[in-house]
Amino acid sequence: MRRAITALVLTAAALGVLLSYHAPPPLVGTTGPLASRFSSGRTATASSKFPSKYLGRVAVARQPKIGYSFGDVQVSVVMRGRRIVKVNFVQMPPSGDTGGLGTKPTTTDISNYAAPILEREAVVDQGIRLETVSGATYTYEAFVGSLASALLQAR
Amino acid sequence: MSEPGGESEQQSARIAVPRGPSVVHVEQVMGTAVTFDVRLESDEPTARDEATEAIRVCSEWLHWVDQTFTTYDAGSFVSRLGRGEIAVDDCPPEVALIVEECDWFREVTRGWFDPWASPIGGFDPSGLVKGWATQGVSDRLRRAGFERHCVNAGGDVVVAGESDDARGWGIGIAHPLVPGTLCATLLAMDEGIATSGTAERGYHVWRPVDGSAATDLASVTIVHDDLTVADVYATAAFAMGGDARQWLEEAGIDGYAVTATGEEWETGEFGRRRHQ
Repeated sequence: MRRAITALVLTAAALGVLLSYHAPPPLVGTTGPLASRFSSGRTATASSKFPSKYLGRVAVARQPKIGYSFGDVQVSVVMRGRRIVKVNFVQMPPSGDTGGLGTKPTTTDISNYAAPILEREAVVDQGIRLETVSGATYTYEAFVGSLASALLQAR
Repeated sequence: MSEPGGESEQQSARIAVPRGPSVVHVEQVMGTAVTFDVRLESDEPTARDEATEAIRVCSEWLHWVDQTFTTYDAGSFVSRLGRGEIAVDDCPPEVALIVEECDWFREVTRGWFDPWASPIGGFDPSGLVKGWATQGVSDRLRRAGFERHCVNAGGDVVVAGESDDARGWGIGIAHPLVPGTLCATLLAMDEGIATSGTAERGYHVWRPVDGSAATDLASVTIVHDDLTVADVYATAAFAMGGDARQWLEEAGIDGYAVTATGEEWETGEFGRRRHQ
């Protein structure tokens, strides 16, 4: 049978401070076996992002806010067993001026580009220890640290 | 028992948390976040303190580089130099070095990297300075005795020595068209990896030839022994667009690109670092 699938939603914020990978974020559950381990918090926003058949378990993890300068990043991760099947940003910082040259692509831009290739999209590292990311700044740094915390918690 | 899509069950996704002793620090500087990941050979508090101190010194130096080379502050040496108010000789010696480097790279990239061709005028060496500064941090960490580290300045990366995996550091390349996903994963050691693309800052590279925005490619990643070179070539190749493939191939540069339509190509020996 298909193994249980987990969707985690993380609110990540991680700049300007020492990243503390081992500090567990308060995790917040909604349904399923994980729920009893968590206490309170947001739940519903992520559910609509995934077909209901994928929602074996849903948990929402929230990182302590530690000075992320462009707003919260909310990351949703769909897992099949312990394997990450899909990673999406549920919430990105506001688009527009990023304080540097140019502008961040808008959601519409991204959707237009992304549609043809989403289907074949490979997901996060499969089988290597991903230690850094080239080509992305704030979101990945926030993302990797908080995802690591969340996965440690979920084990 | 089989999973849909024929996915393998053997491999599990792992986001790395350093296994051994390490000091990780994020510094906000140069308009971005610089992540230091310094691996230690011992768990002694003194090793930790020394690494923390080395990171602090490097961060201070980065702030100095930022103040000196920023084009966002009209009073910086580079801004004043660009307006012709001062000469190179009036600046710290590092400025002369950077001007020289820029001049050289403008030549070898046939003008595709051209800090003097900014549409807003003046002299904008930022396509080189971030890579140079990040490489400088790595060199300083090494000299301070920290052989194993990763420095990531807003997506431009230097990896030195072994990580937890003796084969190298696991590096994801951010997918320029699908935020939150990766288009490639690499294992690399003692190299610089620079990506120029639209993932975060939109179309921010101008074509020196006519001042228009470069739009052929969504991102270009270059791997080179020196991050300064990787950064410059990534910027130049991104500006050049589709023609960059042949140019990089001829120059013997290891590159990888995702086009605006989501196709991919690579040059040189880029592929030998690919995981899978």
